[in-house]
Amino acid sequence: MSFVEIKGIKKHFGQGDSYVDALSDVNMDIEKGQIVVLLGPSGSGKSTLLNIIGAIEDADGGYVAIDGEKIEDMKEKRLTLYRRKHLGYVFQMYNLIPNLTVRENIEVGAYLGKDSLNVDELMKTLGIYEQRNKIPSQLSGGQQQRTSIGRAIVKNPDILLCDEPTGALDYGTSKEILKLIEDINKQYGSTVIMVTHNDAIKNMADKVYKLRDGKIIKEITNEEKIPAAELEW
Amino acid sequence: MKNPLNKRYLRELKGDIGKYIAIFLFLVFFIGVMSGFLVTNNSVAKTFNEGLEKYRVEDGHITFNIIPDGEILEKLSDENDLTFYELFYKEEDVGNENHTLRIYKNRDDINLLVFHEGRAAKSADEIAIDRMYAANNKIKVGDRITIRDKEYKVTGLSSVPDYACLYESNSDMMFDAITFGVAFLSDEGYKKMSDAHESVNYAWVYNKKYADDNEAKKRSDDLIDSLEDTIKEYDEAQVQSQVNSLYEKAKEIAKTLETQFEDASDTIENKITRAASRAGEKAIASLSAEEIKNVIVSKSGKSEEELSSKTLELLGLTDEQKMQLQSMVMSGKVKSEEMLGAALKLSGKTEDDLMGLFIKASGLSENTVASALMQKAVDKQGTSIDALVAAQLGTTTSAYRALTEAFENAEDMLSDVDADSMEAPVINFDELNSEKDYENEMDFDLDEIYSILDKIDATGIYNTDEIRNSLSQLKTLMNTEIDDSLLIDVKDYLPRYLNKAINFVIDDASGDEAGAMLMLYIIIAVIAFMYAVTTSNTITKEAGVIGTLRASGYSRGELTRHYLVLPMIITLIGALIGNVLGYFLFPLAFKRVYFLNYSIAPFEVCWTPKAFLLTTLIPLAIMFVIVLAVISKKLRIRPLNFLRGEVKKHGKKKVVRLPSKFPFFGRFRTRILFQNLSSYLVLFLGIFAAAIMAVFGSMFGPLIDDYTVLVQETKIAEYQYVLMDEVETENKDAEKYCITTLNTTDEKYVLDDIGVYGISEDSKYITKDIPENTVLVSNGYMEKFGLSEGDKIKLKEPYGTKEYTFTVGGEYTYDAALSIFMNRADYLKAFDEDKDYFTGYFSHEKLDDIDQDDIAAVITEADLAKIATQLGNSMGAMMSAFSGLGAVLFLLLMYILTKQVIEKNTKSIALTKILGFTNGEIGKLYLLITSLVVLASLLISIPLIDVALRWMFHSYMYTEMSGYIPYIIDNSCYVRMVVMGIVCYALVAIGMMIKLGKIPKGEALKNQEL
Repeated sequence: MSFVEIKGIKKHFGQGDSYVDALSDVNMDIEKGQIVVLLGPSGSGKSTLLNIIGAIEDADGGYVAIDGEKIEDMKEKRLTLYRRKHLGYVFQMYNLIPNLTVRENIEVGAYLGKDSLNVDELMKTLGIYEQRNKIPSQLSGGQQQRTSIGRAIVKNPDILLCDEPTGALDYGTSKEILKLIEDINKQYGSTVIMVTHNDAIKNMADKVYKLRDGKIIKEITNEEKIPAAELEW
Repeated sequence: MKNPLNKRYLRELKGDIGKYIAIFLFLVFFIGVMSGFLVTNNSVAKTFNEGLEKYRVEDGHITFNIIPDGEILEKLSDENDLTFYELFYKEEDVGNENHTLRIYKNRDDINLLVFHEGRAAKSADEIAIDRMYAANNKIKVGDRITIRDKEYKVTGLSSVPDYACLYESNSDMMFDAITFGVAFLSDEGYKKMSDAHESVNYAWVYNKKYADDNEAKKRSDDLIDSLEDTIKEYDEAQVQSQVNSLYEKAKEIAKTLETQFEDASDTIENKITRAASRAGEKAIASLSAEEIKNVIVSKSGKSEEELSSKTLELLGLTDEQKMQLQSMVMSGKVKSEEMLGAALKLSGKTEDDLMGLFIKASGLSENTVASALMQKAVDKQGTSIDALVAAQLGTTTSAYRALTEAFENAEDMLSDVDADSMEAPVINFDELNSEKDYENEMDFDLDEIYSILDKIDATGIYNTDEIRNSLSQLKTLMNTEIDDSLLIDVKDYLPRYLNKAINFVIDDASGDEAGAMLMLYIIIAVIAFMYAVTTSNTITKEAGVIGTLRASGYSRGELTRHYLVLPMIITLIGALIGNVLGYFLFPLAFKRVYFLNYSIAPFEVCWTPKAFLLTTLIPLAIMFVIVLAVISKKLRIRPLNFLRGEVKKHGKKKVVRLPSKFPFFGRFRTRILFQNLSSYLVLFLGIFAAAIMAVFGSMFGPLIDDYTVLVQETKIAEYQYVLMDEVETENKDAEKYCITTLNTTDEKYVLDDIGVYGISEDSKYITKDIPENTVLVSNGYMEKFGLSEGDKIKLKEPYGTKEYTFTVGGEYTYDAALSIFMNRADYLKAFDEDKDYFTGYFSHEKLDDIDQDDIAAVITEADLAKIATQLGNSMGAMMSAFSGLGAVLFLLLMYILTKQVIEKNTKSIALTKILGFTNGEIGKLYLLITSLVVLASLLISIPLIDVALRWMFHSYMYTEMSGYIPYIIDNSCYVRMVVMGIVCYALVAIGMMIKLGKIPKGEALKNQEL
């Protein structure tokens, strides 16, 4: 049994003329510690799938099971605990708390974990230790995203869900962030599920799912991954 | 690990310090004031309760018309387990401004005096006066005041617990510490003062204290029953005694009359008999022998020869004489028809003897013959027997005939005055309608008797003076009224639990307390909504963060708590500091207010947990519930929606289409209106609450002025005299009226005294026609009790159980007091009064010919308007506070919510700046709509305020307060409120324009609101 088991996931939006199948019978098996990239153009359903895995959106059919635990069966309170225990989220728009410092923003994540990582060590790892006492408005985009990654992984989640983590960043910074994610995956053994429309990123993944119109059109297992630092696009 | 989100609080506070300081200061001030108010009230209540024992406060008092028999008080004391204390007083006018002082002796046993300055009166020319009255009239210790032309030196300023609030009468709507006061003389001074205006008043104290007002009421009801029974028993005995005495006297006179009637009857009968006899003799004498003989022959029915023969036989001639007679007839010397005359000569008897024998021969009685002869004589003379008898009596025929006819009824007449059958009735007030009905029991028809006497007098045959004298005495007795002055009447009865002069301080405090707390909670609710709206906007602003946190595992509860903490902490700290100030600072001001209004003993401020509960815990609870409800509803949105910025629970916002022809600025502003609808709604509610406070705070000044004018315009007369007794005046302007006081029975309202007037026919003072068997009801009464024409109103005796029902026949405009007006005839019937009864005069002129001692009161314009005057004096300071709070609330709400609108649109404002809009244009875009909302809210509030305050008057003031004051809001109050609102907003708008100018253009370039 896979660590993350996704079976027969279906999701639609709208009704009548505006009815759209966002996801149709999506099946995935993700092993613990893998980096998985969900690749596809806008509207392919990759973010919807990520949200369903992250239990912030319900599927119309099918199920997601993490470590054998189906999230569809969970009620609100258990879902919160599930997210708290298993998931770390990184978004394109960082979503940092504006009046907390870098350190405090990461502590917000640390607060949720039972065995949270050392915040100072993590900030050093993330390369934002020098900025620890700054508030988000004093940071660059990359620094903000590092902080948001820090907040996501500080609680040492089983799965790190990243939704277009480089979408708002320039090329150089994007590569730094991808490298960071890769390092975290290695260092902490987190399973990373990353949504992107950047085709180049697929090369750093253990597994790639290509989606189009809500369906997996291709499943690629990279026998030889390219380190993030070497990615080109 | 502590939740790192907690670190936001201080920064959030710092980041919006203006808002939080404003709210904090407002809460500190408002809660401080309320807490101080409660602490002071509690202290007053504590002092009051302790004072009941300390100052031996009465449990009630009764005022009688006369000093009651000692046994009455003893009986009442025994039956009700209480002790009476003599507390007589004299009410005197002071100065020229209709000031009244109620003057008592110094007190040792009950309602003890407390001196705030100076000492008690010791000598006859010293006086101690009430502290409040003295303060209001600038009287100091050492000053001299004149009462009844006598000068007194003021030796002390005092207060007594039975006049903690200077109500002249318990029915007054408002106390009056300006024109009414109490004063205290030494025993000697009191004794020397005239008794003309003395009231026989007794205070009572139950020997066993009652637990609460319910028990006090029950005991009072028992005392009333006992009082009614005792007084009834006493008064019945009084009336019985007087009636018995009257009947004894009447009986004596009746006996005399009996004798006098018998004498009169005998004398008159004898006179008539004799007169008739003389008349008969005289009449018969006028007849010739022949005529007499003919009458007898005719009456006897026999022939003349037969009678002559018989008469001849009866002459009793001897044989010799018979022979002589025979020879004379035979010789022809005597004709046969002359034979009887010849026989008479021979017998030697007289003509009268012969007539007697002739009558005898006829077999008729003498009376029959006499009557026949009488009739013959009368016929012959062409007259009547009555005329002949009347002539003999020396009177006229008609007078004689009237007398004889009257005598036929004399038997009946005499039985009317049957002394032996005269019995005084047993007086029982329950069976008689009133004590005066005993008169009906002694109901002789003296007119009939006088009529007979007149007939006797007309004949002149008997002198009726003595009889008339006796009858006059009887009539006087019959018209004697019971001496009411000996009957006991209760003039005033007031148990402590109903006594406003004692309780108003506490009642007012608790009444105000409820109102003040309601106001506090409304304001807290408004602030809570304001918090809720601003927090809700913060949540919208931080939607992405919240979505991330929720997606990362933060629970809704954790985030709810997070957003709830700051408002709660601000409120808690504000309330705590407010409470501290409420204990140490504000009571000083409230204490001053108490001493400015009430004549109470000095008191110390003491803390009460109740103040903490009401001003801290409950506001916190209100704040918690409202903010929690709004935040938790807002946070119920799914994390994904937060991440997408879809902060409406049900999907995306629908965009309202605005017509493209609509000018750009107009559409822009409309969008801002829709965007900030919740803020504007709270702004409207807050403005409405503040506007109510502002209008309420300013309405009483003009209301009092308007009411004073109304009282003056609708007064019945310049002077309304209430008399002690029915005293006449020569003044042609004066018009008599009757008045009594009844109580309302509608339990929805507090008990009210209703003046019931009996108005003279064709009154020049009450010119409106009063339909028969109905009453006109004063406009205040109609308004307060919601009456309309045709309704029935039930009123009851103030100190009894008798009820009266009247039909409303119309409204009469009279604003000074709650009154009803009925026709005098209806009044006399309703209250069973004599036809001459009245209680006073209406007059436009001063009535100088009435002795001051006969005047109970003179009601003038100043008296009628005193409610207004006192309202103005006592409420002025409080009302200003209301207006002030209204202004502060205006400022607070407008500042926070306008700021909210600006901050919500910071990015857009920065963008418009980049696009090239000037600050003025941006102000027009973002501030003008808020200005319009403020203006619209102020204007829409006007009719709503009217509805709210009218409701408050009818549901609170009219039901909880006795008396009446019309509901009038002068337009100037609304104008003032709108101007106040606009000025407050103008200040806020200037501040916001400055803030708006300072928004950097760079804000527009940020990815998110940071």
